Amino acid sequence: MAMLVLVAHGELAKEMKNSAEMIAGELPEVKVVNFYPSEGFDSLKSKIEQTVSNENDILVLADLFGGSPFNAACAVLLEKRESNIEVVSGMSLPLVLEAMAQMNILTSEKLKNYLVKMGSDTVREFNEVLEEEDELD
Amino acid sequence: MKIKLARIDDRLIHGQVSTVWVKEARANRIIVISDEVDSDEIRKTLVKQAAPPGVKVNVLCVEKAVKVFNNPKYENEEVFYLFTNPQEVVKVIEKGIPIKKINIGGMQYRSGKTQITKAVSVDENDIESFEILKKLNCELDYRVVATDPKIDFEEKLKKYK
Repeated sequence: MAMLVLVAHGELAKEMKNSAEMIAGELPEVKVVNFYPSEGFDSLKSKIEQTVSNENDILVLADLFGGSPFNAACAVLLEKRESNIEVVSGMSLPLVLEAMAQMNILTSEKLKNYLVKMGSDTVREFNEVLEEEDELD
Repeated sequence: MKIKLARIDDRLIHGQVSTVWVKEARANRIIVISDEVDSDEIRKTLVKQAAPPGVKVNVLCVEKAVKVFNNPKYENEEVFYLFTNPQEVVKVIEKGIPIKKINIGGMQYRSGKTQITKAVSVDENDIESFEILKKLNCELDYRVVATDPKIDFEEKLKKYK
């Protein structure tokens, strides 16, 4: 069972959780870390540390690969290897919904692999020409 | 046909349905039962393209839905029925499809309707249909999302009668 932490620039993480709750109902177990323009890297990192302290098996979903939220989460991962922290970028509504649906079943490592694998499937085009229809009679 | 879940939701296949309710239903086919959507090519196309991965979607009018339900070919097919209104739920039950429980998820506000919960607005015609559903022993299950606590939907209806 993994603990899920959303971390992103501005209030994206907080609003991502709000939007996910519109679809899936309340998600009290999902934690949020916001990163504000006035903040430095160390402050962000210590907020992530506080959020995951005393926890084990944690999946951090960050907004942008190489951005400060992602980097700070990776720094925490490197310093707290015993806590089984995994970090994935590309936070989006479908990924958050998938992660919350699976967090009670999968370990953070399995959840990470699953999200990385399904990520590209979440970008889909509107396709007006439908596949051959399975008609009922 | 095995009915895994039946829901009234006039947004049909949208976020709540394609991510949460489909999993809850564990059905491999969604059947939208609506005379109106069935005769509207644009809405029909939009509903079908929103099919969640691995789930088939069909749009049928009431009459066709009853015929399909009774076709022995689909005896083991597990389905999730979606309706846009309670009137058509009454119709299909009266025509022999045994729906024991109807999940009420969303009926948007239109002029002439009264909003009774955050996601449901009704008029006299809707209230009458819900009363008929009760008489037909169809349980009314008001939940927008699966984790919503059950509320007494009949009480909500009574207040606005």
